[in-house]
Amino acid sequence: MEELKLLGNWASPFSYRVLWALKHKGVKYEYVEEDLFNKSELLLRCNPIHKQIPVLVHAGKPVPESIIILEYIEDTWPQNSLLPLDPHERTMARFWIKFGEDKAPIFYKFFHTVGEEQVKGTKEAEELLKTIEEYGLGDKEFFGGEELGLTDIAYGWIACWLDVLAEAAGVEMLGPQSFPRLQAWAERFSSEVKSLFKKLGVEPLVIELDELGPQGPQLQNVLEGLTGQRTVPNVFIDTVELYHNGELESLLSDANAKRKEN
Amino acid sequence: MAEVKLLGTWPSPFYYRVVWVLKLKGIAYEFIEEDLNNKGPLLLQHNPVHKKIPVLIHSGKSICESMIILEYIQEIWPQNSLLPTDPYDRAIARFWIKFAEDKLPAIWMVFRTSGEEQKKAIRDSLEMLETTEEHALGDKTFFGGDKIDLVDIAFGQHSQWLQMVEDVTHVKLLDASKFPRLQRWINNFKQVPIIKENLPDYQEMFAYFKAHREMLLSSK
Repeated sequence: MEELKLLGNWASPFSYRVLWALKHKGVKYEYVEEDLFNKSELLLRCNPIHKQIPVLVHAGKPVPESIIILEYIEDTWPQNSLLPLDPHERTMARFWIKFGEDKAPIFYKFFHTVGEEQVKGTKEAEELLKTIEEYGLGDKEFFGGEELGLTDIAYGWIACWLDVLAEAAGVEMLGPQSFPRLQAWAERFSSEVKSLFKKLGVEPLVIELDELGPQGPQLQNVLEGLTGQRTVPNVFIDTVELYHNGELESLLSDANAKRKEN
Repeated sequence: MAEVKLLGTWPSPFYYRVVWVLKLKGIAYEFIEEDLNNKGPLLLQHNPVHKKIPVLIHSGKSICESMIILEYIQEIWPQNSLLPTDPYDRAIARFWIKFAEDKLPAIWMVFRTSGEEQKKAIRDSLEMLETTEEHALGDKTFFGGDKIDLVDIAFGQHSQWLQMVEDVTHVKLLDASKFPRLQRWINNFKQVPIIKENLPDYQEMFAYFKAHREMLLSSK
């Protein structure tokens, strides 16, 4: 099989778009974590125009830009299709993907600003969410219809990152009252992401924080201490197993070294 | 044959992208002129999200955004293909189409602004032209190679609208001595028969946009 590498970053929603698509199609790849403060030569060579992750390198040929990568994955590995068959529906999927990309600076404005500007930015972001909910999602289960598609993957950051960003910026967004259909979609999407691991034969132990009673918030505090984030989903690897396999020490010292560098 | 309608406005380069592709593929269509100062119910009904032209209406279904329309046309009418068949080459074509979509607005910012804002837009435009010449076009005749494809169409506004912006604003952006390959591409592109036969009259276009810029600047 030809070599497939994904240059990505653990904190980037753009990186995750590609991961989700590859996992959905059961395509094997090698993941290369990029330090965005110290970009590798490989990354700079593979994406000289934008110098950004993610980049998918297939048989030595680089494909940059997450949305372009998603279309490439769909073209190259058509199994478990992520785009509708009907040309008009495919076009609508692409229309909404483009909408999200074009409006991204407006979406993130609330995160980069304070005071009056932030109030304005938050309002603009909410108007965009309203448009997406009304015209893009409507009453469908997923943007793709009954099943997850490329549009859902493109908007996955709303399900997994918007809460984190909003909390960090000190604003409230995506409450269940404000955007009920989008909130319901976000929960369905998070579920799909969890089940992707199951499909690979990896049995995750899934802990539902809101089913733990009073221990839930306590665990959430611990998670925040460990990861710097209170929100889910969060994936933890079995550190005990790594220890027994003799891999833990080198992983930790690598992580420590990276932290010192930053 | 199912009905094809195109809502557009005569001086818009985005409308022309669709005209060029419909004609390159020999697709008959009905043109409906939209007055952008008085948007009609058809436009508002078929593009409620952006309320912009062009809009393609095919068998009653609407498609919006020029490059999205072109991908749709390419799928429904694959003759005279305007995208590579190889997935990797197709990805690279889509990369440059996205680049054009993301960066061409800088030229329109030169058109719409003055002072410091315009200076920044000029810098952004020049950077875009440099990357286009060096990385997107290189030594090829067209972005598509020996013949034009959707990437050429995406950059098509350089064929006439770039010069219009330069003439209206008195700002030189594409100096032929600094961008010889792009200049050669513009000359070649304008000689492609369908393109040559489907460009707006330059003088009319110049007058239209000159008046538009004066209105924009006086309203600030």
